[in-house]
Amino acid sequence: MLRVALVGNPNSGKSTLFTALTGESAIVGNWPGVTVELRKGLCTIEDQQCEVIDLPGCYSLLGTNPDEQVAAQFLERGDYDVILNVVDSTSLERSLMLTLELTDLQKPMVVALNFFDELQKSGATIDTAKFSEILGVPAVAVSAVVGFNLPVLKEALLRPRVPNVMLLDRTVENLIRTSQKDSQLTRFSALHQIVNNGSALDDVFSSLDGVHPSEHIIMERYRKAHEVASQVMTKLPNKWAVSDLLDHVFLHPRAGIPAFLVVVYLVFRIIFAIGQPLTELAAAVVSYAATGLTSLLPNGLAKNFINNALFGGVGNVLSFLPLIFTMFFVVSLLENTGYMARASLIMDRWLSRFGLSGKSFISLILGFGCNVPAVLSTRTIDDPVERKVAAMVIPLIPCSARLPVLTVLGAALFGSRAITVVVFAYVIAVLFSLVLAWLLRHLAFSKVPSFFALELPPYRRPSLRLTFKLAWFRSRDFLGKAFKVVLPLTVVFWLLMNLPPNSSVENSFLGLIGRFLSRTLLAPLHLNWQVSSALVFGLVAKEAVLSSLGQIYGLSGTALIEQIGRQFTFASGLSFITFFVLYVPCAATVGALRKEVGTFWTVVQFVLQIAVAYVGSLLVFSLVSLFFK
Amino acid sequence: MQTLNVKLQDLAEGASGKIRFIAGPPWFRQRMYELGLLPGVQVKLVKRAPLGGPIVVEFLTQRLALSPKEANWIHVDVV
Ligand SMILES: Nc1nc2c(ncn2[C@@H]2O[C@H](COP(=O)(O)OP(=O)(O)OP(=O)(O)O)[C@@H](O)[C@H]2O)c(=O)[nH]1
Ligand SMILES: [Mg+2]
Repeated sequence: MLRVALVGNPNSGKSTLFTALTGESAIVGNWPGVTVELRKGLCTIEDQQCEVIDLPGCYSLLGTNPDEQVAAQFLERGDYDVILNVVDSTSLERSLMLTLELTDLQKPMVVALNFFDELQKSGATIDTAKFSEILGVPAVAVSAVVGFNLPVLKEALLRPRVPNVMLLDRTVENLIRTSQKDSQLTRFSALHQIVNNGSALDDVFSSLDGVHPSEHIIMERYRKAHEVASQVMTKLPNKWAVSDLLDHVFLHPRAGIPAFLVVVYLVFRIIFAIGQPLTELAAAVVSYAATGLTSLLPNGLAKNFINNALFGGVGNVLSFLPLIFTMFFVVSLLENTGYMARASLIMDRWLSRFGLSGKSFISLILGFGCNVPAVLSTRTIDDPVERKVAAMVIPLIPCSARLPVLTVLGAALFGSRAITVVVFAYVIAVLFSLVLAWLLRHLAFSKVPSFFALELPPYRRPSLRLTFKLAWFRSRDFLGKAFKVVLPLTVVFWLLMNLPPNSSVENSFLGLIGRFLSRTLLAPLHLNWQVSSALVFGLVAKEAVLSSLGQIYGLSGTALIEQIGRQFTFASGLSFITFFVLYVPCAATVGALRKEVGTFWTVVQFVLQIAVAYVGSLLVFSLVSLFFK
Repeated sequence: MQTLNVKLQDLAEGASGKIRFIAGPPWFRQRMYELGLLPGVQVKLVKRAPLGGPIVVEFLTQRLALSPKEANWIHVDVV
């Protein structure tokens, strides 16, 4: 099987091309650093099976961020047959620096000159034949979004070529030859060695006028890239005209921040204006199906199971799919226009007070979708301390799995103005995550200043078809989780609720656990045993809290909402919401966190988060009872 | 106005300069070089974000947002 590795700068369209070639799902967004992990997919070219591997973007193979190292290590291991170098043809000169570095690997290669549609619109052209001749590899002008020239690219993948050796200046070439003589290294490894051990070679230093060899090599590559680019490109593309107009508003000294707030407000409004009615419709369908089906069944354990566990549990969660989908749709739309990068810029200064930078902003926003990819996305943050802090505060951000529970609680407490409660929960969560970030940055880690450098892409018109697909990819995880995680949990919950046999719910194992918790750990929060036992299941997945509540009260839809409403006073309700939003990361997030920050910091995070939730909800309880008697 | 050796941060909006040298820690220089921000390259200060936030610079037809502290490490000759 032919293994094709997609390598290129961040935001050069690798994942878009990956999706176009394989039809597999991959997340794309118009900002650098979307992909942080390997992703594989299959495609067939002229009866030949190919495996395509999507890699995180990198500016160089010597980069030190974890996402760049994923790419570099993959290329060094050599588990591939062809390098497909994806180049942003509207930034040819810069992109070529990586291309030149790739030629040093001396592996079969093909270059895809992506964004050709934008290049043509900007009035510039690239002489692909000449380009291909200079580098000695096939080069194809493509557009991954439009699908332009993809068949030609596919065909080219079957006849890749080992690139020409792109010679650098005499000093560097001499150095390469010396280290190759000493130890039979490939050109790439020799360069690597020079870069890494450069400081040890004093004579090298003096021959370069005191410039560090690694810097000298980059400058040489740039000189070469410039040379190649000016040979194949007629004129420089002018791609900023439209973006300048938009940025005039979105990055305006005075209008920029209000514009940001308007965008956030609109996002909220759209999600609820469209998602809420659809969700109510879905809930009605679920309860209709439940009553219809259960009326046919004889009374007994089976009926109890179907009614409670399936409809009350999983059904309740599933009815929120429309809301979740709408949310992902709107966020994907935002990501693919390029506004995300602007928002991160606007927020940078503000976040720097809490020891984070604009880069963390993007990760935090992703957290509203799902905490797991958000934690992984911190890999692209340059500053290692900030990377850790961001990863550790993300679990406080209310993910889409918490949204259904919040919506139900909101409706229970506030009726039609449920959205107020959701907004309240979001504000609380953001507030506490910033406080936690500040604490971590200033107390746990030394006070290193944060760093912010982000490539700003031009604004792009997002394709509705692709946005739809993206929203679907992400909602599919929600759907999958409802069956793979929530369903088993619901079964466990149901068993605990019905064992030992013939006992009342209150005296079941579940009742025991719930009562124990509500009398001890959760006693200060005034939570009853039903709610306490539901919270336990949120440790695994947050949606499970809703399915558990549905089961324990044996209700779904509006009946459930009314029932919950009766369980809380205003103060205890808000305090419970605060606790629920903050209390612990779900099992999957803990796993991701361990991967990124290690076991020790994961344990610290877990303890801290429970503490924050505790303090937060007590605070809310006493404040609210003080003001609303 | 001094036109030699000005900090990038002090450039006026819309003004251009040629990179003279990049100070700051090695990892920062490395990062900037990888992005193509090298001595001799011409940069333009496109925009300043609200409230003393990052600046946006353009070079080699690409744009980069930089926070003020980093922009102070980059020295340019105004052209
Ligand atoms: N107009 C146009 N837009 C494109 C093209 N290819 C990709 N895009 C858009 O460019 C943006 C970036 O695409 P991605 O596929 O996420 O880029 P990537 O290389 O995977 O980026 P990272 O994962 O961050 O390294 C998306 O908004 C795409 O819709 C193209 O050929 N033409
Ligand atoms: Mg990608």
